[in-house]
Amino acid sequence: MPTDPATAALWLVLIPLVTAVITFLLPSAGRCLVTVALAIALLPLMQLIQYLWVVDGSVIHALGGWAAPLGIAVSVQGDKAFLLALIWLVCVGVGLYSLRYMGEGYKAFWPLWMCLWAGLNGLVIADDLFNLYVTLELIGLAAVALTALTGEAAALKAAVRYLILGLTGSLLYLLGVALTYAAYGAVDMPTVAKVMTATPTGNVAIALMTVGLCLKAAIFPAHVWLPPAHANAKAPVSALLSALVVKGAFLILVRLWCDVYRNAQTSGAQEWLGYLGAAALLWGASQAIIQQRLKMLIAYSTVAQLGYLFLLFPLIPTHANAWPGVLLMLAAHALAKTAFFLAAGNVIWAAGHDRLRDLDIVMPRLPVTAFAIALAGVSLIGLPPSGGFLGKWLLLGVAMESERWWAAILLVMGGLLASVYIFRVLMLVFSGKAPSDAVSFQAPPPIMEWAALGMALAAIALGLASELPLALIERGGRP
Amino acid sequence: MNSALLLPMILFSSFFTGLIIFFLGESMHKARTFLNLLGAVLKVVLVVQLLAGVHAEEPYHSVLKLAPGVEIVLTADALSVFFVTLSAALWLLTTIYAIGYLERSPNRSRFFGFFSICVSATTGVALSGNLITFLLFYELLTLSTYPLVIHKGGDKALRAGQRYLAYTLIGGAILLFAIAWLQSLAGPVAFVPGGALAPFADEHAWELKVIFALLILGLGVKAAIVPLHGWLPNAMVAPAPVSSLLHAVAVVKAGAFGIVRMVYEVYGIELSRDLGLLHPLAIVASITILYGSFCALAQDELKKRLAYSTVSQVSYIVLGAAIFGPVATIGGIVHLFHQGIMKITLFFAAGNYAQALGIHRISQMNGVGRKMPWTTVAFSVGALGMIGVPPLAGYVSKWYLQKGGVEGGEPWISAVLSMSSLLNAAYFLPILYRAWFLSGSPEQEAASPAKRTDWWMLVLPPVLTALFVVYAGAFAETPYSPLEWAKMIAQREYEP
Amino acid sequence: MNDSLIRILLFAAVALPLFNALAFAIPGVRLAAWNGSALAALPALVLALIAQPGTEAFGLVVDETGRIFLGFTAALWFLSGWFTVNCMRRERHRVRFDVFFLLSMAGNFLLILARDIPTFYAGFALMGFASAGLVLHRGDSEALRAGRLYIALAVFGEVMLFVGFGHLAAGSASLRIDEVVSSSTSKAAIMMLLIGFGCKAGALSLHFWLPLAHPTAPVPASAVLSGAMIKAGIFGWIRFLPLGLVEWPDLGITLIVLGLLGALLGVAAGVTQGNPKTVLAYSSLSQIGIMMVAFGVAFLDPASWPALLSALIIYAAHHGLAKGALFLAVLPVKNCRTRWHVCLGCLGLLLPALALAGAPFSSGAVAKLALKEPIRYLPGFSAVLVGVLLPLAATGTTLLMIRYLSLAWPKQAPSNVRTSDDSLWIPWGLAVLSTLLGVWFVPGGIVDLDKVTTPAKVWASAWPVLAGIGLALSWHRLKKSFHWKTPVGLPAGDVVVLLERLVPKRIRKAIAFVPNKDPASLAPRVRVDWLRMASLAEQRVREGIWVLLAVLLLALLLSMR
Repeated sequence: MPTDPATAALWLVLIPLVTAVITFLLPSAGRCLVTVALAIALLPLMQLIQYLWVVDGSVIHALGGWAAPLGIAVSVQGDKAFLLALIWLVCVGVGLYSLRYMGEGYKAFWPLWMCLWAGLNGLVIADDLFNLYVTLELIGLAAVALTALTGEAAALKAAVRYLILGLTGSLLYLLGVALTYAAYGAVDMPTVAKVMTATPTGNVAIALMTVGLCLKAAIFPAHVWLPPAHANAKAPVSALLSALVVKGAFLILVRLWCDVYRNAQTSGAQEWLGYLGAAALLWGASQAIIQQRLKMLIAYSTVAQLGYLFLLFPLIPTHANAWPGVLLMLAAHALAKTAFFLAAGNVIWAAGHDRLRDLDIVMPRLPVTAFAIALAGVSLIGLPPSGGFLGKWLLLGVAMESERWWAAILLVMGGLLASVYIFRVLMLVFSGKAPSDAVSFQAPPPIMEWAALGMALAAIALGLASELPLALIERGGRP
Repeated sequence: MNSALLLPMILFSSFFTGLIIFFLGESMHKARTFLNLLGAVLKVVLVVQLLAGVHAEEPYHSVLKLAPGVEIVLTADALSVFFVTLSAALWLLTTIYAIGYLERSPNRSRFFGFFSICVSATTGVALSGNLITFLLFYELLTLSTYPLVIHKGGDKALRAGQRYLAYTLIGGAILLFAIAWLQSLAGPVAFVPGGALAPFADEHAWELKVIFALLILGLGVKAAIVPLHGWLPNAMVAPAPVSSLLHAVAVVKAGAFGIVRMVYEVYGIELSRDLGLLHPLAIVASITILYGSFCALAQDELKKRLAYSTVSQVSYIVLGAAIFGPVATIGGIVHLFHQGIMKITLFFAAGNYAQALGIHRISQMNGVGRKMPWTTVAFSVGALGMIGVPPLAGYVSKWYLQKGGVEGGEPWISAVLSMSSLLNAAYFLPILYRAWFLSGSPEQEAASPAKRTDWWMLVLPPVLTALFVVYAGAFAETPYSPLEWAKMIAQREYEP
Repeated sequence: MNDSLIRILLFAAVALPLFNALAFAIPGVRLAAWNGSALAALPALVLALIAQPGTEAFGLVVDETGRIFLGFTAALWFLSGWFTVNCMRRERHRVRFDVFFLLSMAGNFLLILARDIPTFYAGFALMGFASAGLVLHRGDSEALRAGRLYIALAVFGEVMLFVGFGHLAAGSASLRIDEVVSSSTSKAAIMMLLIGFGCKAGALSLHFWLPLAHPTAPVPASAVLSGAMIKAGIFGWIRFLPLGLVEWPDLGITLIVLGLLGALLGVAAGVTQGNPKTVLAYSSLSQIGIMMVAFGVAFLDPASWPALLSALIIYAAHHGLAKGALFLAVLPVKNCRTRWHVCLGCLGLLLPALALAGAPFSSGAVAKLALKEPIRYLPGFSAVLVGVLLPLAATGTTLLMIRYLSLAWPKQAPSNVRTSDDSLWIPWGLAVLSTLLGVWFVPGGIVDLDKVTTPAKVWASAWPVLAGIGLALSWHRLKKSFHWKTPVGLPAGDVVVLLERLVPKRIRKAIAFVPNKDPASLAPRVRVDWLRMASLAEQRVREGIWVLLAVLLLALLLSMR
């Protein structure tokens, strides 16, 4: 195990990668191995956090000993450590759930999931544009494969669409990276940041990368692949996709605009991303409200929630509270959405379908799941004291300080719209209909119900115990 | 008792029992009853201790820091203790009543779980020491009452619940917006006697006015200010204990209490007056008072009539806050308490009629006085109190309100109050007349109340509250009466 | 007098009726409570007889005015209570009646003994609302109509008082009645209080409940309603109006005119009535009118108030007792058992009737003379007032009394009808006796016997009565010789009948609380198929994704400068 905190970050990529290979070779041991990997990953993670906490500096590591312009650099600051921890936590929730949920027919799940995890961790710590492309591709392919896991027609169709749009996104991004390399001779972020100016080449490169990442991040109007893909995947997969995968692209976007292209006069373009966020917020929520299936509803809710992240995009570099706010929003959404999808998995397990209209005789018999949905809903709506509330509160403060009234109003309205679709689900619990015996009901295993509830509780706890994460985010300064 | 611990303990005495109750099996009747009563009694005991402490002006303060500028602060001042006492005492009675009322109905664990959490939220609203904390519990209250409102299930209840949510969540959102705006202007705002915003008045007068309007809009939903009252009459589909809670203890009160807090301890009554905020507020409250009474006239469903009566009565509290001067303040604040005990009596009684005789409409109430004398006496006391008949509680608040109106240079208030009293009489007295003097159709006469062994659980609470209505009115000048406490609050608000 | 005894009596005066009413809630003691209710008014009566003015305890106070009001009120309550116990023993809802009776009694005593405004108001309201139960007691449609009207007026009056008290007390720290009244100058308060108490007193234009409610209530209830409770209105005026302090000629004239009109209308409407109790009710209207004149004079000439006050007290006491005796008479004399009873009945009817008419040597004569005395010195039209108008009112009263006597004249019961209970005769007899003696007990020595018994005074009292008798006799002769029929009179409740006709049915229905539709549900609903629109829009985005991405790219590029 690593002794050097810098190496610890790399271990976080290596552990899942190695596990992926082994589980691929030994499919029947997938469950055990993944559990072990999750447990082991806690060590480097804790070490990293502890180091950042004590030393209060950023951890920079050059892979293979080569320094910045040539080598592969990784860096870890407080916000990245926070994201790594978040990814780990979501994976634990999904893992606990999958122990019972993923039957023998889904052996491919374990290695694919581990690839996804490795890719995500890599994405967070990587410090150059090309490596980011590699992780993005790794994540994207694993995600498509996971979507298609069930082999059902709808899932396959959704996966193909996901693949096409995802690949387009990666290619656009790659094109941008290539242009950057051609113009400035570097892909390492700190280096590029120093030399990149608002030249036409630079502009085109950034624009291409942005559009590509928008596709990956499923921000309106590029969200069209997301709902079918998330809704037709298996529940833990949906949870991973919604909670983490789309956020990856968003993180790259932030780094691109806030670190790399900071010098350029680009506020007009950044505003566009803010408007996209606003549109996504309204569009996703209104689509969620009219859905007839539970998982479609949750998927559209993700579309809407992504809007929050983009809403104040232009302010992230300039306002002290904006980035912590966005990160809290992101984390709260990740946890709450995991809970929501896992709970949806329970409902489907119990009822055999997820048609909202017919769930009113099933939901009252799943109190723990219903509770999980309710708590997740509290965070998604942004009611206090959840993490969603705290993030929203910070963003609201930023919006008001900068007198972006439209954004402030949208932040509040987004919560209201969310409450409409959340309570569409919760109302089913109180339908007052007696469960008739004619309906087949299969009680989900307790661990699945409690995993969902645990994730939801984590989303609430994020609000109540946010002092620690917020302090962590501030450690190591901004890049 | 460690003063830092007392407040969280009061808060959690019902919260944790509520959580445990969720996980009790439906059949564990005794354990549930025990936990319910344990929580309620414990809370009353703790609140009594708090009362004594606050009376002696001991400081109570508990803080939980969430993020920069976001702190959960619990404090206890005279005003909050006033509200806490009301909710704790009435919760105990309502719990007894609810145990009797819901015996034999399904989903009791769920019901009592939310029931307890709802009271915790109310306590939190009362004890919150700054705006964020207030918002937190205000929203928690919305969430925990929703399952209670729709407890019966069925289309009607669900629709009412939908409406309830639509109103309260939008209100909450507006409140959130207003609070965030206020914080961006003035930093975190704590509740301070005399108000905390005076230093910002010169620079941000215009913004403060808009924020005030937003705050009232947000709180007005729960306080059922016309035209934000639409949810309340529909919410009467809830079981009687819930209606009691909604109307007397928790939801409506939280809104009114919030408005009182905003006027006195966020803006400060003097700043509110200087900004010209009080006059519009008084007009809105007056319109609500009259409109609610007019609507109540037209209702035949008993609980609906009571609901519209609440719309009207709660605005007395707002009216008291909207008139400058300590006398009106006393009137408004004491009505917070008085309206609670009177309305809860009425709803308890209404629940008893429904439970024992299946009576839901006023037109069916002929001759119930003879069949259920105790309940009907309690109902009569509550109704007469609402009208403002001396020496009952309602009279005391009306007296102070109207005296305050005249002294505060708003003599038109007396016209509103007298009109309202006339309307109150017009919709309550016919009920009393039916109950005591008419006899029903032969089959109604034949029906006798279903006697049960635990019937006392339904009769005792309204009788006790009715007695208290008499006490609070007839002995208003004695120490520790609600009026005396309200006087103390007013004194502390005007001479911070 | 022993101070602690007075304190106990003060407490008991109010508390005993209350506890007596509460005792009915205990099943075992119902009979005792029923019988005991005859004695519930006794502490108040004793208190009035032995208390020194100025005694204070429990927020209650006995002063000079209050003592006399308490005296005759308590006497009336006591006798009516006794009467009730005897006459309603077999009624179905007797307990309900008795509870309301006792509550009204407690309220009445409380308001008289009150020291503070809230206490007064509490007593007044208790009396006002509880007595509605007496009016409603019979439960038929007539009682319902009267009761509804009674409650409406009571509530209206309460509200007016509430506002009036508020204006009165505004700015004053104390709530003591004497302090508040002497420090207030609010004219609004005066108006409100005039109207508020006027409702209870049955002053003209606010009187219309009176002829409906008094006859509808059971006999003992009518007696206290008419004898004691409307005096509470007069008492309120005395207590709360700044009489003797404020000169307000316009108001004074208005009151005098209203009072005289009331006296006239009372007579005109009363003589045509067919129910003896209605006749008495109209007589109350006319008597209250005369008292209103005194209040008017006090506003014209504040200096005369002390004398007027004494006169008013005597007048109120005299009227209360006489009216009570007359009301109580209705039941015993209706079906007399023996000829002796008939003779006794005649005597018992005549004495209070003559007193009310103001025949010489009667309490009425004393009261009227006392009232005329201060008015005599009023500048202006006092000669007309004292010399013509007030005697005319007395003539009117005589006519009313003759009408009453003709309707209520004792008859021996036919053999097939149950005779009236002998036990009723005792309280009634005592009431008649108190009419004879009561006024002479009024302390303060206002009435100088010598002055009253001078021939001039006797003649002054006698001629209006004689004129009345003469008028009645000649009317009788005329009717007989020309075969006139008794003219159709005003319907009881005069104004209200008109009002009832005028008010549209819809409003009457609303007041009668016919349920309506929820006003909130009347708003029109617009239905838009959001569902289809939204899903269609999503489809368009899906189809146009490539175009949209290109647009996004372009927009980004264009906005980067």
